Amino acid sequence: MKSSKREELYGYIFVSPWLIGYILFIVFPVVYSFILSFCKYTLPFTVKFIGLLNYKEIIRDPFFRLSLYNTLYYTLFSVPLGIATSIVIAIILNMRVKGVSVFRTIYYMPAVISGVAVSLLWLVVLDPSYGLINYILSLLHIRGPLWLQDPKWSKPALILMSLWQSGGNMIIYLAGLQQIPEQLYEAATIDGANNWFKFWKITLPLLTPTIFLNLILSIIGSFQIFTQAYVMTGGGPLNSTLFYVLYLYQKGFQSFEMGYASALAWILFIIVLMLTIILFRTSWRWVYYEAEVK
Amino acid sequence: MKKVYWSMSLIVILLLIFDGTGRAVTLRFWTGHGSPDIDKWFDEVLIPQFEQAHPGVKVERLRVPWGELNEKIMTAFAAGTAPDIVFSGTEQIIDEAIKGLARPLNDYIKKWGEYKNFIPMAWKHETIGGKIYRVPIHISSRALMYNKTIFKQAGINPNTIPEKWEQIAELGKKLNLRDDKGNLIRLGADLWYTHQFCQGFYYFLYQNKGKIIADDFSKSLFNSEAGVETLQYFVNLFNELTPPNLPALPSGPIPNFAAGKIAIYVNTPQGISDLEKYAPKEFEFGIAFPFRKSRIIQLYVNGIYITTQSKNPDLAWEFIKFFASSDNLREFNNTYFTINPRKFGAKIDDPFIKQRPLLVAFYEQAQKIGIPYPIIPNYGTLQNRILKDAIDAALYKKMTPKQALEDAAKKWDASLEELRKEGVFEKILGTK
Amino acid sequence: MRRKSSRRYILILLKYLLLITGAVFFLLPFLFMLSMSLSDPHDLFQIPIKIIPRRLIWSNYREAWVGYYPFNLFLKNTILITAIFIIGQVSVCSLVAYSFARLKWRGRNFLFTVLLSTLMLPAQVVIIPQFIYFSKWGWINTYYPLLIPWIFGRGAFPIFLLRQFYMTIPLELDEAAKIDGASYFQIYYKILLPLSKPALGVVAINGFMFQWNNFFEPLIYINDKTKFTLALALRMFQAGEFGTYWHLLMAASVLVALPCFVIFFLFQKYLVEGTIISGGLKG
Repeated sequence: MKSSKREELYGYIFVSPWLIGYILFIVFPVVYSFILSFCKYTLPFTVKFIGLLNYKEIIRDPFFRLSLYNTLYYTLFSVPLGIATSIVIAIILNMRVKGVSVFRTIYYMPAVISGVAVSLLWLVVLDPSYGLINYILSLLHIRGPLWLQDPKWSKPALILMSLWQSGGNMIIYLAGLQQIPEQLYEAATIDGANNWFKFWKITLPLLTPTIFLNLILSIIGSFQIFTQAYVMTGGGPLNSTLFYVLYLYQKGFQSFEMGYASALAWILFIIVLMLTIILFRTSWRWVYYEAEVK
Repeated sequence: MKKVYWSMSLIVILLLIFDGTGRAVTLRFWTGHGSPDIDKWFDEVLIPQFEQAHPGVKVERLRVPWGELNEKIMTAFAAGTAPDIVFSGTEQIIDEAIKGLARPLNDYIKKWGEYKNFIPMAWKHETIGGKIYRVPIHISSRALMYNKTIFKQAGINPNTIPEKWEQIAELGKKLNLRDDKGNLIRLGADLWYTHQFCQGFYYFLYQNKGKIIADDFSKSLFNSEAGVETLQYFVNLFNELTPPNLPALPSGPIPNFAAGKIAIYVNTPQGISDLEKYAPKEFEFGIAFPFRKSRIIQLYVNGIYITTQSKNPDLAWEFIKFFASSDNLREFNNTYFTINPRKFGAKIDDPFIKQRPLLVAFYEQAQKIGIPYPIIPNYGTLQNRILKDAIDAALYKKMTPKQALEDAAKKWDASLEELRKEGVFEKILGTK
Repeated sequence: MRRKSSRRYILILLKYLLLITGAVFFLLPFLFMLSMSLSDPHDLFQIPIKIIPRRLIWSNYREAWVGYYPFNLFLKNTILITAIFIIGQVSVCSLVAYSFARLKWRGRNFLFTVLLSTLMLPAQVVIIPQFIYFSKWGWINTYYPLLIPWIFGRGAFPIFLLRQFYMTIPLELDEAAKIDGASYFQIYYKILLPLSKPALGVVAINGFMFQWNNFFEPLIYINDKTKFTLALALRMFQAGEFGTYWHLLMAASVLVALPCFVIFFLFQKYLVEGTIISGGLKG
């Protein structure tokens, strides 16, 4: 057998575990859920084609709008703030600091636990009367809000909690920072640049590819927020933490309206896709690539 | 290549080990009810005794937390892995009948002969369209309990029985205590039984001679004047005692009512066991049956059924018969502190119950003024969405009670209309 | 000259002040968690908050772990699932990545783009159909749905990471091995794999963190309490009648989170190294 043909054969063989799985667990489900979104599917197992009815109902559904709003609100604040926090921490840690590994560990630690454990912890941290945050605020003579008991403060509470875990991304930015060649900074110093200048004109632009990737993945991730709401608030108070995926879960796995839930899933997909495309399209404006620097 | 092969096979073998397959005849028994004492009783008394009497049979008990019972059952039915026997709650009976989860037991019960020994009201709840879907195991209820010791401390006559709505509100206000930071030290009155506002609303609605839904399920009745009045009462009390801008009472390992952190509390008979376990000895508790236009107490009948997917219905029935026998039912209800659905005649002679005046009161009133808990199709949607949001909107003053209930009634009526179109009511009413 | 150095000192001071304040913010919740886990239940929910409890009640840990639910069983379950997950992903994804990185075949670049696109797919689009046919296959209440789709088909991130990493390994090594008569598999197994330890480390650690704390999928697929994972068990603990036993809830949370910390501390170097190497690749 010709060697290139052999190479191709092995190429296919080695990639097949992924490919088969991809077709089985991604392609089929995506197509199936698309079809399902046009059907009514409830127990016991009756599938009825109903055309655009699910989508029409979704448009009229106040919970759809509310859950979308809640999710957008959360994403809009937690992602930029999280990225900014991670970058700031990464920059400070990148400077010559004594005990950098201790600090690095401390800042990264909150990202190490997740899911139910961290939700339970923050349930007590956020308690309005006896929780850590309001206690500290009271020492500063500030009356802390009711956090998870107040519809206006429940999302900010969860955003605060996500900021606490922003150390997880800090490592990625540390890596990105260390990619920036020292010479650039040295050259700038020689030219008389101050730190501020160095940050805005060297550090930040060269970090933009990392930021870009991180931004997309963070947005996709925060759109899917579920566990915190499920464990800590159940969607309340007053549905203020009814996030999109929580609502989808309720529709799909509690009311078992699987057609409707599939339609919800597809709308989520389209929104995320559009956002990603917009980000990619506008990336040329602000993301610096290697080629340009050269 | 070889090493990969071996590690792959190892993975596959490990995965195959997780194929749950049973061997001997196993009855899978899911229960939404339980407590550490009840779980112990099931595992150490009821099940071993049954297994002894039926060699070769194993009973596998699984306790499913309330919030997830419906989900788990639906998922199991969808996957074809439903258990044999399910011990579920009051409201589920309607779904169990309509969605074909429970198997009608009329033939079994006829042969059993114990039908007449149960309170008729209990069977009424478990019978839909002439078919009996469950055997009643225990009856719960709601009543107002109050801490006489706190009354005394606050200068209120401990013999006051808070029965009238205005009385309850007044006492609640007087006994509500906050510190200077606004933290709640003692809640004067909690009428919503651990924040299940809907059930609290139903209870007081019926006291006000209101109804939730028309008997033929044609429309909602909770938006009547009685309903609006009831909700207004709740809204006033809630905003007086626990306004949303002040922190709520946190829950600790010791239930708040037993710890004296709540003065007046809508409680269940099961709650009496908490009082015995946790309340300081010097606390004295009283019980009252509030009313406005009619004296009622709701009977939350809980029963056990055989699933339609069970492959061993006869054996499952044997277990149910055993569980519902006179002795076992008495032991269960005394361990769980609930009302035994078997008739007890004119007087209670069970010493366990007799020594507990609070429990005796429940038994007596259940017989005297007990009304069945209403059957509500699609109650999940009503309670977890429509009515819950309406009550929340009213409590947080986003809408007036009248607006909230009207809005809810409109939505609920639309939902009922859909159910009618699917022919659900014909099944329930047994008519065409 | 003097002004410049005093300005520098102020900046340095500011830097440390920021770092330390931040560190306090990041650390305090952990201390709070530890403190609650060692407290007597009567001492909880008191003002002022005592970070150091009156008496250290170590028995809370024992009580939380064995007193109410069989956490040992849940631990066993979680270890099993996580181990299979990691082994599966590391072995399968590294092989697939090798195919993308080193072997030439038609459609390779196209499929790689396809692979990348799955990173942007919200899981919810596939969850419902997967659930439906897992029910039909009898996979509900087993661990298969938690493992098989992720090892075969959804491991886009590990595959991407590893492929990028392989691309930094000089081709000459491959060539040399080929001349020595190595098969494609041997090149993968004997050359690339040993050299990609940092990247494999990242895949393994990420896999561990993901599966150890995974909540959504076990929530949907596992009904039988005896098959629960630690995440489900913790939730069950909270949602059950012991849900208000905060001292025990915190103790249980500490125990569940502990392995994550241990893994992090032990493999910190790998994580940092691996992220640096693969993070710097912008594909």
